Amino acid sequence: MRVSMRAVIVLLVVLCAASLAFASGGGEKAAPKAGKTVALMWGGTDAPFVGPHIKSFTATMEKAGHKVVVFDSKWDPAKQSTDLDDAVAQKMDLICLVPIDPVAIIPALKKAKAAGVPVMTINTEASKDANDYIVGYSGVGSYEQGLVAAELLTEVMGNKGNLAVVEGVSGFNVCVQYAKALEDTFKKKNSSIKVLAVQPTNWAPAEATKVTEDYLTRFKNMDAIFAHDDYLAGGVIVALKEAGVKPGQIKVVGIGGIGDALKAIKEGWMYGTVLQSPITEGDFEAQRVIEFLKTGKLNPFYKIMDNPKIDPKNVANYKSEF
Amino acid sequence: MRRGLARTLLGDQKILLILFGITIVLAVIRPVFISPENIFNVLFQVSINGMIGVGMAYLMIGGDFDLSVGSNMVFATTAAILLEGLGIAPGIVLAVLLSSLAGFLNGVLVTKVKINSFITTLSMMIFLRGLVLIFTDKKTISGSTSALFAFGYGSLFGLIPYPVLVAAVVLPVFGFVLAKSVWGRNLYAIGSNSKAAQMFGINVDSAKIASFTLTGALCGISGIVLLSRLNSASGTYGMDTGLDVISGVLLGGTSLAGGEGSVFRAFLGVLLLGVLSNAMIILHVTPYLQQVVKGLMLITVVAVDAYQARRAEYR
Repeated sequence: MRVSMRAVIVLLVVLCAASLAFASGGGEKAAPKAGKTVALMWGGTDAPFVGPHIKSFTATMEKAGHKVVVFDSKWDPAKQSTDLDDAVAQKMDLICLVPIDPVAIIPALKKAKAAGVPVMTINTEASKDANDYIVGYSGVGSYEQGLVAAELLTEVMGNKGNLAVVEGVSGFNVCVQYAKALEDTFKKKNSSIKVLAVQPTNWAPAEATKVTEDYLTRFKNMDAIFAHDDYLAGGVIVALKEAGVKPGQIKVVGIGGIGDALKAIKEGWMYGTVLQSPITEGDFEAQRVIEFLKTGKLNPFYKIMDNPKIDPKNVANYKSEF
Repeated sequence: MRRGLARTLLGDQKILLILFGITIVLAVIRPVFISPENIFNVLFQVSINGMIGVGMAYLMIGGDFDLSVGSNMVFATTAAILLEGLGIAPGIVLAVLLSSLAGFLNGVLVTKVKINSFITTLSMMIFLRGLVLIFTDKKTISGSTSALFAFGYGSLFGLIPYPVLVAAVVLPVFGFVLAKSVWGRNLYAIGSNSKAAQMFGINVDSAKIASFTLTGALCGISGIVLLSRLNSASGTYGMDTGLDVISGVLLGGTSLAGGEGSVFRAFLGVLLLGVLSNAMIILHVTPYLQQVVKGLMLITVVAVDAYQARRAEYR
């Protein structure tokens, strides 16, 4: 059957229009009159953590009768700057922002404040200079989280040995804080742990596998690997298994507490992790948003969640929820 | 045989039509779309890609393209910050010169060493980004003064952002040069049939090197605009710029095969992509679907173009 070119063109045009109509119309519930509209601006939506977070955050907000608009800045600080401008132009009732770059976002924050649109940073902090332009921060204390991870590392390494780091994104505030927490902890405990290398992965587990393969080739005396999140730790373990390393031969510590990590700890592939449930976090931050929408301010300005340590001794107490 | 206005519009000005269509539909269902604030936001967002798109149009009409534009832009931003010690203005000028040099190198590699533009500019892209990562030590580096913010965030009459004004000068000037100068007309000839152009006595190498250098310079200027907005530079900036600009120029009707197109149409394509992104944000389309829509639109417009070109051959 010969398909005419015209038919193909018409089909494509219809597909285009249909997808646009579906994308904007479907899946949207109109907010009731009293409900507010809040922007949830993630640095990027491809990291595995983000999906469950958005779901949990949106669920809590919609239950309270508000609407959530999600932004994805593809990990580009320039795009996040213009995305913030767009959100401000739409006069959102509150903007929740995960800053990709702690410093680059400040000019756009200034503009938002001048336009009278409130911004709360979530999940990752911006630089302290941003505090004048935001209404508060809710989320994870990255430095505090790093301290727990550092504690796990010094415990399992006996305060000495060689450590390689599988990093998230260079310059991302969370990662900078983790590095600082490690440094401060090693200094405080007078440890002789040596950091062999730090390589970024754009939070992609497949990249973490590649980086770990590199490490295994380069370093013959690597004792432990610190992965900036459990998804990356999963990628690390794939490389270890491929290379024939036995569980526990090279200690792995991650952050997050995902189901796969709990399993890995039970099997001996990982020594420990720090719980950061995207579901809990999404809900935690949404509750702060609701508080702000009701009262017009955030009290306290800076509120972080707990960072429970998970290791082989207590892993049985935790369920795999995400 | 004269064609009616309707046929001309539908045939040649698809992009304008689509733009009008989107504008009218959104003006009705989400009036914030046509608020001055939003309009100038969109214009700012397309001014960087628009300027780089000028260079890309020159290149594509001549039968080449440049994948390194994103890296070159960030390279300029980084250089400007690192050279601040020489003074803000000298630092900026030097940064733009360095970007132009990178473009010039692209041109030389393509014309004299005869490596095709895909491989050349891909390599340059990786090389420049590597340089940025080295010079920034894999972190984000910040400029020391906020003097440039007045430019990046300032506006004329409180409404027209200065970067938009820069683009508003660059585009018509280089559009005119492309359409009316010997260089411009040579590029059309080279893109249509480079061997014939050479035999005609056209200096193909010079024309191409000039186009690559121009693109480099425009990347440099865009890098400074970026600096005036973010006052920082990092190896992660501008990753999508190359593909975004090429998509925009293609959308506007400039063929990858060379020999046709214009700065105006390249800008329309870039503008359409920018307006589409903005429209989808205003319509609260989830980010996951935005990419799908953009991809579908690109394929549809290019397919319609190809279809019309084939039909025109048989008239």
